[in-house]
Amino acid sequence: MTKLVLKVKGMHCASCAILIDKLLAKQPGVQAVSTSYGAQKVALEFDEAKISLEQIDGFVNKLGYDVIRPDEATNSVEEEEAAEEKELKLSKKRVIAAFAIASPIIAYYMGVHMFNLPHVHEVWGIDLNYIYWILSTPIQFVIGWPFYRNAWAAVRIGAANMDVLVVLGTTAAYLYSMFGFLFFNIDHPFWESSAALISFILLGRYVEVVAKGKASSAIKELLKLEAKEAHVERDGKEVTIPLEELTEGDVVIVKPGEKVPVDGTIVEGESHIDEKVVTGESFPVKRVTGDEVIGATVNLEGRFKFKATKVGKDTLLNQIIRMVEEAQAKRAPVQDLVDKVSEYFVPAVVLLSIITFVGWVFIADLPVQAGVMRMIAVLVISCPCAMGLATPTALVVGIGRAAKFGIILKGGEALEKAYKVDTIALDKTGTLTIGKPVVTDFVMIGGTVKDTDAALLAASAEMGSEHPLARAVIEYGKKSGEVLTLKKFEGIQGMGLKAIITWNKKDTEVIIGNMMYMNSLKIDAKQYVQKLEELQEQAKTVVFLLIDGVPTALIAMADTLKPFAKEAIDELKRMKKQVIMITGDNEKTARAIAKLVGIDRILAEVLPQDKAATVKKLQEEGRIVAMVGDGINDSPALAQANLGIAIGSGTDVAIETGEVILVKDDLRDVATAIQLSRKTIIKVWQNLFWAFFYNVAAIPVAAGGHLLLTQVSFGVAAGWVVGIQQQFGALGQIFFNLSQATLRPEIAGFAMAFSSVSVVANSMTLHRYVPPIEKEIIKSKQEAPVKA
Amino acid sequence: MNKYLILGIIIIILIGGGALYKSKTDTDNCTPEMGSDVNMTVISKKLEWRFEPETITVAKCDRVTLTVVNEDNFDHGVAIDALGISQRLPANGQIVVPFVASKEGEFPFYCSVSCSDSKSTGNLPGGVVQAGPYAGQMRGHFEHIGKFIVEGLKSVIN
Repeated sequence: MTKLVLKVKGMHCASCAILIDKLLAKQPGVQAVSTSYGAQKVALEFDEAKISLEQIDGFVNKLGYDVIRPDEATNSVEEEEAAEEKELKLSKKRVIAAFAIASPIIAYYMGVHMFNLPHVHEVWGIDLNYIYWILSTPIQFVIGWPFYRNAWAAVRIGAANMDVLVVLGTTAAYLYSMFGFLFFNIDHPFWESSAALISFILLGRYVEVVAKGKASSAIKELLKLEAKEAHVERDGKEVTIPLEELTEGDVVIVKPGEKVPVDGTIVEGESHIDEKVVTGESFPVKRVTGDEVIGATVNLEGRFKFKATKVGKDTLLNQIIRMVEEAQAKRAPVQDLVDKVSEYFVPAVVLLSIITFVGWVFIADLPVQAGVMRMIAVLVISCPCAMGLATPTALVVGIGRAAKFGIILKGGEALEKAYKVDTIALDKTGTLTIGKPVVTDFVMIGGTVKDTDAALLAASAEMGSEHPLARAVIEYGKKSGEVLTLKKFEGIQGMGLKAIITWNKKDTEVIIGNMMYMNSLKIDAKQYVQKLEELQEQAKTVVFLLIDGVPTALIAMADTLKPFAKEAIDELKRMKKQVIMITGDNEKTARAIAKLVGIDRILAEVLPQDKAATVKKLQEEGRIVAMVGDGINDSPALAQANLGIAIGSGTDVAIETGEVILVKDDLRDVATAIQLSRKTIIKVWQNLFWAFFYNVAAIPVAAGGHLLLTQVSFGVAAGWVVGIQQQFGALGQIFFNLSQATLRPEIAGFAMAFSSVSVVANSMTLHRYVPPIEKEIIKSKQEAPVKA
Repeated sequence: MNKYLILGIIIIILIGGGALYKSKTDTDNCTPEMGSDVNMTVISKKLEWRFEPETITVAKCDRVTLTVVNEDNFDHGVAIDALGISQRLPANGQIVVPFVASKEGEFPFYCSVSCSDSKSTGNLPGGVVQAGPYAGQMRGHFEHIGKFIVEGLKSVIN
């Protein structure tokens, strides 16, 4: 099974995406396909044994679009920008040409309708209709040709998109005007409908392309961050090579002011590195030998050498780019609904327009012309484009904006879930705390072993353990001498460990574990409980040390809270989310930490393998849970939660499982992610409301349905309308005129184009949105230097 | 293609049904012997935004030949919605509209082309109409309405 996210060229309307999905989903071998108009990308899952990418490309080509295959992909930013620039220029040319030709027609009808000038359809003995006919024809069939092409492509596969509507509406207007003026002396030809409508739709699409370019600029900006070349050490000499030639294991030299080309580990030297571009962290961090460095970050001062560990597509930056790309191509569930509506919309509108025609012509017994005019108005006003644009534009901008703050939202679904979350479950170690505990107390409670020896034995036993607390004990014990070799080791998950160590030439049994473990070993620990609790109340994790079965010491360890943990939790509580801490620690320690950061509810003594079950229990309480975690052991819980938030650069597994990735190791981003998601989803609903409301309200008016209320007979105003007209003076007259008029097709066309533009503009305002918590962060950073 | 087939069938049913409905309910059917030939002339008076005469009366089923004259330098239109008339009346020109007065009742016949008003057009002193019954009043497109009365069948009246 091959999974790919590819760029698609030539999509110009949300319906195009549906069209591609429909056609590709029908092909054998294609497992999943999801096309996003906003991101201009298609996410494909297919079986290469059954269908090749070339074949898929061929199918898409038939529709008039182009999939950029990896073998023809031009990944260079400059080339991509040049291509987009070209597309933009072409759209611009089309718009200019359309308006240049249409402007006399638009100006004439604007003069008549808006400035109350009388109609003079004749200049120097020439009927202006002939001129308008000559002007409209190239707009309708040359400039407007892509509409016909796309409509035909859609009809051929049995789909219906917005172009079908445009073609129907404008062609009907054009033919009606032409035959009407040539043979029937009609009083209202619709030249403006054909010419102005096409011009306005083209303008709307041009604005969309511009807006989309801006929306996807997040990725382009990320791509630009990469260094172009690297200095490497080859045979003891420093050579400069292009980035593509860099391989894993190369030793790379980074000079002050240069970008770190790829990810790696420092082998020599140290420096302060500005990692803002990747992590969003705005303070430079000190990196010394053994530390990891991230590609695309900027080396501020020192010169250092590092060994490349991840190159090419594997670097963190490229992973982030890939995730953002995938996220933008993925569709939100709400969009499925929108797409379904859009898809049925076109046939429904065609039917409505026919009903309008039948109603006026056959039932109300009006002349054919009046029926045709209203039918055209219905066709023209119903373009579902604004509806199709509502979701993708908001999501693309929202996800791009989040990336700026170092937050990766994996797709619309993640956004939608983040907005619904009411409970935040936090893993303690590594999430709330730094995850590097230290031994704070080593209290001897019995036995005959010296405290230094006890510490050494404990450290030696912990050598076998991978538990985060083990490091603390090892570091502490090392102060008393060289650690001893383990003879036998057994870790008991969630409880402790048991080891055999050769000490003083004999086998010594060392047990380290918590109260639970002591109970299971049937050790009477009652007499130590007081001391134990005293330590636990100081938020320390305490374990027993048993040497040869004798309780020898209590080892107390404490972990440092992450900076801003309290601020983050305050903000989450302010947002009315319940914050719950999940930890393997005992109740007392957990409570002490919870108190420090202001968490009200804790779930203590949860074994790592039970974390997912605990999350499930919370869900059974009816909660929508976001789980915040960092490690591999958190992954099942991240997957179980309604929303998995992986914090810090974390482990690859956590990043894969999490739906939200916080690149910076800052808990406040949990709040930012939720706030931003909420804002984005609100935008989506706003857009949908406006697009939908517009269509619902405008169609009956276009159909002339309001006349059923405002007129009692043909051309005779209803009593209540006359009443308003007489009572409210000039305003009454305006109301009277509006109530008696039908929506002219060209005004319908303008309104339609305007609705698309307003939806895009509404989404673009997200670009400037700063979540409340981010505002505080920015403020505190601005104030910081003053305080210093 | 299925969707389009269904759509096509529905459209045919709708239009067919509509036409059938009209033919069944249409009580306005006139036969030649039910009315007589009537020739009439209506003038849209120069810069007065009125028709002369303002009221036209015919009998149902009369075969009317309406000549409409435009004295203005700009376009007018003439429309009687109920009878399906909607025609352009060119500047300084005239048109002949033949029709059958198939519906009984009183209908507005109005200028269907936006034709400005006395305030903005024609350099009229005070922005008001200078001649005719509405002299001294401000008039325009929305006042440019006459009455078209279709009385009952002559045969019935007689």
